[in-house]
Amino acid sequence: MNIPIWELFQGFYTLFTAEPAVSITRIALILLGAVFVYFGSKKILEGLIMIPMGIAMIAVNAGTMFIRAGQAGNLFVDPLIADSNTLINLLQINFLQPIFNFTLSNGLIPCLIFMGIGAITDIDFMIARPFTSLMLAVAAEFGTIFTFPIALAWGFNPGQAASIAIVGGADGPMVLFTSLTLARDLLVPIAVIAYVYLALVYAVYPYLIKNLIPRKIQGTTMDLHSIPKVNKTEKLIFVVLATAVLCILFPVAAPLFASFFVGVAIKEGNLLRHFEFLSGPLLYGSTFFLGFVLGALLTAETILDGSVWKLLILGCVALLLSGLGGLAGGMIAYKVSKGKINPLIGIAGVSCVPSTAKVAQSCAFKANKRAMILPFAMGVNVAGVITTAIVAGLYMTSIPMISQWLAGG
Amino acid sequence: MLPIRALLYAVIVFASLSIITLVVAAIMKLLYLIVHRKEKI
Repeated sequence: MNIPIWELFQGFYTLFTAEPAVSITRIALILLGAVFVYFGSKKILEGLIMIPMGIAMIAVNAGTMFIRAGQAGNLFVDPLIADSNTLINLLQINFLQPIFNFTLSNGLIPCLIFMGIGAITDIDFMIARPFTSLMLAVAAEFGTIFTFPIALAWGFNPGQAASIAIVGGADGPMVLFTSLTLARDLLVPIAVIAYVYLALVYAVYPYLIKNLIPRKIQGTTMDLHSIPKVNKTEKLIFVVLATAVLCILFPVAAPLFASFFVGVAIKEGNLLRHFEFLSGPLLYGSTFFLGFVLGALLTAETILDGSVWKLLILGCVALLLSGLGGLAGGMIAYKVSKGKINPLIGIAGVSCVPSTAKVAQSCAFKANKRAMILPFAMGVNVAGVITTAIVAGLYMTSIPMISQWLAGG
Repeated sequence: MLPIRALLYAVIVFASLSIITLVVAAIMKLLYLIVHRKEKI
């Protein structure tokens, strides 16, 4: 028997048989996975996503082997299978293939996460002050809308441009859902970039606030007693109406609206067991599998796609534009209300629930120990979820119809 | 250079978002006023 000893250790061996760029990227991704785990454990990045993602990245890039006829692959997941016979085979071989095909690629996981988010969302302030909350949220959609022409000018097709622009909404499930509908080929890089950037919101937005809003204005106090009382019946009526109106307007985004509002309805309907299920096992279970599957999809082949560096820049541009739009909206509200509204609640319109609201509160608290703006910021935050869903609905509805007209520009 | 049609489309999306949001906000305000009408009386 003549078995080359190296071929027994295929993880190593494939590093030498592949193109140097692929091998170097594999090693870089293993190291990046370790960095994600470290930052996640230190709470610098969101650990709930980053730790499972980091471990899966390490495992999938280290565990590369020869799968058929000298072709390198892994036993995790293959996202590019189009042939149904091959897919049936792989569902019995790759251990994450069923999770990918039955929960991620059909948009189920984003919807499950949205049910959990709905269940932990408080809509009181948004209902009591709908114009303030929703108009600030509209201002914070600046990035989700005006990154689109930039991405189109940079060579992406309309569906891809819309998917990367939605990153500006800082809403992970929404990014996933839009990419699945409009740019399936870029799902993995866009989703990973979105979740990494969302984790960075904690670190970057405070600098934006510090450099753009005078410290005295950052500490503007808001009167908590000015928030009108909202009863449960009123909230349930709103949930019913909003579900019907938004689903009639955007059937393509109806699964997202239904998932979010069923979560809110469960909470407001006092269904304790359902609430515990949605806000606990369902939300955290879905988040865990999302992080783990995304990590397993992050292979060298994905990263070496020439458009990834452009996506990195555009994701950053989208979030910056949204943050700037939110703060500009906040400053307008501050001026119009003659100093009664703290402009920092504007940045909470970037709908990373509840991170951006917490960022606004933390910056206000640093400037003035008596500034309590979290309930107001949460109202804008929830409104941001709705406005991002509306933008996603507008994109998903209109782009398939007018993509040729857009390309002609 | 930004494609003019894409920019126009972005402006239309922004305007549509603003209008839809205003309608949603108006419905919410109306609902709030109806529910709290008795309290004010």
